[in-house]
Amino acid sequence: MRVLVTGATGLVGFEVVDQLRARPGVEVTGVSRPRSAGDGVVGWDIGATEPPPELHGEWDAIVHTAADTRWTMPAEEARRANVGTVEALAPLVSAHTRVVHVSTAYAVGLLGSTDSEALDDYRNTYEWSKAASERTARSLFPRVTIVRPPLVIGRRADGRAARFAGMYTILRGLTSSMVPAVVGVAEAGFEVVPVDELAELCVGAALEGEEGALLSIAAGEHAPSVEAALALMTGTLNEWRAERGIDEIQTPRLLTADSWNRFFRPFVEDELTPRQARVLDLLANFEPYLAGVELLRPTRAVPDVESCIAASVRFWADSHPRQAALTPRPWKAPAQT
Amino acid sequence: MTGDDAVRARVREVLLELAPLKAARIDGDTRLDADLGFDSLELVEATAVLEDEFGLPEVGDDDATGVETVADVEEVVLAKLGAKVGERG
Repeated sequence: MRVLVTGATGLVGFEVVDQLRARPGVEVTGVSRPRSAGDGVVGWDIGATEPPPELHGEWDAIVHTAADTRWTMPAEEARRANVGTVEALAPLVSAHTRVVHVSTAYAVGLLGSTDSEALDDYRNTYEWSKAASERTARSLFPRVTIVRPPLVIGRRADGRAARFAGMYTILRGLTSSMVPAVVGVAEAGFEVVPVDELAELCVGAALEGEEGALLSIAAGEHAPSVEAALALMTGTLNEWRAERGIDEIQTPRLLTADSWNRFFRPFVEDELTPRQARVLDLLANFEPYLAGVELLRPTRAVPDVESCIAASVRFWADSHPRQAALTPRPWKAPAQT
Repeated sequence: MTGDDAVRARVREVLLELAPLKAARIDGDTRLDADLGFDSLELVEATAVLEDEFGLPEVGDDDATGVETVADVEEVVLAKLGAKVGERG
């Protein structure tokens, strides 16, 4: 069986390739952007260039994980990255090719559906472009399965991750003096899934999947609260630091958007350095994802994500020791320190 | 290896540790965004690590303007280190 995996050096694609290589009778080809190709992965700038010769011929399955997950892209850039790459796969897909399209739990935007083409119906251009990518995949590919995860973290057992976005951005903010407070709802669900369980779902769909299926994976009712997840992230990082004789960091304050915008931000605004102000604006993109009090209702529920969070924090710290060991500076402008 | 070369080597070591894209090799012309995958937030985070690594005062937006390659980062760090030595002297 011949299987193509796009985004093969990314967080999800790397794990999918790893699991497919362990399956007997499966011949796996991974593709990624030329700059990160190598080590058995073919370079292809999907959408910008024609498929290289290695990709010619019939595919039994394609797992499309390539995506740009930044929330701050201009609309056209997001469309090119997340819809253009789906369109570019069309020449490789035949009537019998099973396509697994990795989307996001948040592609349903503000209306709870991917039907709308209006940007205003989504929280950001990422959600909007992923909704469009689902519509495009359904229209172009005869046998397609859509898979929707929330934020993705490292493997359950050891936290291994090929890339560090989403939850890791908050984690990095804790040590680099850039997060004075986290804006969210304390009791909201903190929705993350381990990459290996997402990859299992994708591999199963590629090899034995049901046509037209819509699969979602999330912790759902097992999700820890935002407050508990932040305490767990800080606690795990502090254990790692204590083992190396490094001082503890504090769990950041958790504020509602209303409190932050009306009281806290105006108070600290005069003291912000330009860098801190810019970071706060960038982190504001997280706000909707830490305030979702309505549970996701997945087709595959992931239990005990707390242990996955702890393993992921440790793996990140081991692979980024300088960042994990930083001592946060006081939250004041340099002129006042 | 001169003092400047040692600083450059450490800057590259830090950038390789933090780079979202794991590059096989890194040189002065390596681009922070296209080759190493840094976005704006990650560049700010990298700045904080470099300040800590070299004991630099906060690198302001003016210092970071036009910084696009590994060599640009090295120049900013060397300039800040030079300024620090000058202040002491």
